[in-house]
Amino acid sequence: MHALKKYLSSSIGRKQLMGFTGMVWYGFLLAHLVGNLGMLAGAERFNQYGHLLLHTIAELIIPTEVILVVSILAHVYLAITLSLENKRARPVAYEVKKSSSKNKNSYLMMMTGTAILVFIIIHIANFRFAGAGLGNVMPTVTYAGVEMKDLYSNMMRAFSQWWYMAGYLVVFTLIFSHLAHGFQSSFQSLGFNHPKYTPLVKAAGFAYAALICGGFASLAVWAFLQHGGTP
Amino acid sequence: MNFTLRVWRQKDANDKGAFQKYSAHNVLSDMSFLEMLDEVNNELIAKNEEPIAFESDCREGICGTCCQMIDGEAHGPESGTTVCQLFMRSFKDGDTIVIEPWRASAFPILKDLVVDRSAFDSIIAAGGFISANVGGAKDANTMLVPKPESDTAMDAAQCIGCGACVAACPNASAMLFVAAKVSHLAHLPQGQPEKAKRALAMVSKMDEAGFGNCRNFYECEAACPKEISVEHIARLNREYGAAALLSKQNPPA
Repeated sequence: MHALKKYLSSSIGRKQLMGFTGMVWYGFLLAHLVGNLGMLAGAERFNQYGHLLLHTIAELIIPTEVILVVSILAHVYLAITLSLENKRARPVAYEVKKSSSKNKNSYLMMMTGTAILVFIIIHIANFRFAGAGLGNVMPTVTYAGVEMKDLYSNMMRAFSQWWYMAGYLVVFTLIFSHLAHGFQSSFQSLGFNHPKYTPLVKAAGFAYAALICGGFASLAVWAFLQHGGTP
Repeated sequence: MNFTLRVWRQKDANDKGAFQKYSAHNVLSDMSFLEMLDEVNNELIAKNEEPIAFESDCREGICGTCCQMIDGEAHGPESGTTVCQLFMRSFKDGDTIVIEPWRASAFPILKDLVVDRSAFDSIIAAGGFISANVGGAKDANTMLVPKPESDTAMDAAQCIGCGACVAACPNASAMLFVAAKVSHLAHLPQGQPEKAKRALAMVSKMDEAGFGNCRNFYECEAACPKEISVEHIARLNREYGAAALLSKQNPPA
């Protein structure tokens, strides 16, 4: 017990937990993107998919959501406590300080992370719990006698507003920066650094970040263009 | 060559400290940075002023004593060198050079450019060694070590404990130093029996000393005069994770 507590309060233990909780979200983002591709198949398919997640396999989805929430809360808590310690470790700043600037994204992690957290809260409020357009009630639709949430038109209404779409594009840029550093950083923190594979891990991190952010961004633009900017 | 120096002057640990301007005249381009400071100090002594306190010992780049932040870079602008191996030809005539001590709460400033790095000694004392029975020296090659392993161990063992990694790290983390020590011994057969104990004890001591946490900026690798790779930090992460979660070794109380 003492040993585990000591590990979880050590600098390395917390950093590894940081990397691990981040990794939990990589998997989620990929699944989320694949699911969103369903919108290209039209309203009924997309709404049926949402219904499947929220009702038919809710026993799987709810625990997954709990894991994701616990992971992100731990990730945020660790980020804050580690950063405060880091500030204390150098109370007096240098008059002149150059950085090797090899890892620009690493300097932005706290800023991009904070912005992503705010985004996630708004995103969940808009799409998981209520209607988009801020404060609207989620509309419903009935297919073959089954009433379900009309996620499709809810989403289309949100993305028909240019500022909403533009906001998402900005957030995806921040997520790209966060993932591009976070991906390879989590491997390093968990102890994986190999002359043969680390260049691949770095490239994979960029490719993964590009896939996730490019994928979501194109879907946002696609949704906006469907209505030509008119709600 | 002539230079304007902005040097951090601080009477003692309790003094607030401030920058002071000095000029260095008739500096030869082949002088080392420390020789340039020696000349400035000679002038100060002749004027009955307190010379600038800085540390140096071997002046051939292997002792890790000289530690100065020069124009915002640990050990100055040349990569893979210590301050004593930095030559004035690396600067342009007429440059203003800013010289600061390492800044980290784990390295309190004693005077001017001299900091107390005994936090490093306490980390080494916690586990940076192997326990061996005394006696006659063993014959060479009684313990076989594959060449690539011994080379990697040697790369890590090059660490001179200067603290540039801490100085350059935005978080003042000592991970590269501890990593070099842990990785060096973890690569050799002699280091195996105590490797879990060593990783736990050294990391625990490092955390206690008030260094910051590693965030994988890799500034340490760029600043290290011995060019020690962050691969060793991954090794430390692995050693520590395995020691804490898989081994039967308990961490120090």
